[in-house]
Amino acid sequence: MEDTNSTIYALKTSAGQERNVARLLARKARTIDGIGISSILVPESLKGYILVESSTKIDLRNPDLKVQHLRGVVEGSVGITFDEVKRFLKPEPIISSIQKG
Amino acid sequence: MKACTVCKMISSKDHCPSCGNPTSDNWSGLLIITDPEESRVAKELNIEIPGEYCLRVR
Ligand SMILES: [Zn+2]
Repeated sequence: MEDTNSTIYALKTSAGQERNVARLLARKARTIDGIGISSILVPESLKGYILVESSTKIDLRNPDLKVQHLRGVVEGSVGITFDEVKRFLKPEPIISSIQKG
Repeated sequence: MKACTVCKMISSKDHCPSCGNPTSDNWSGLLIITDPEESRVAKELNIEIPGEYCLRVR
């Protein structure tokens, strides 16, 4: 039941533009038919990258995917396993979050 | 923007528009779900409503 045909891709963005690129791609996914993007992940720890879950191959030559500050698909990133993605979904609390005073 | 302390949905409100629980300014990480039916990530986190979520909230 939890099986889907989606693949996780790592995309390179300009530094500091991770959230903007994610929001622009999400808008395209919602408004353009045939873009198979179902989720976009912007972990705080990944500077200059976002993770995109898609049922269709992410090919930046597709004009529908033209987004400012999107730099490219990380080669070999097609093999990102879901287990690797899971650790971004449930980040461990950081030590400095221990109660102050 | 703020994040719901329970379902992690991001909004500008003091109470979550989705589940009504209090929101917090102290959050990090961004997750956009555009198609919960097709998303393995959404299924893993039991998210059924498209939208913006945080990854961590306190
Ligand atoms: Zn909520």
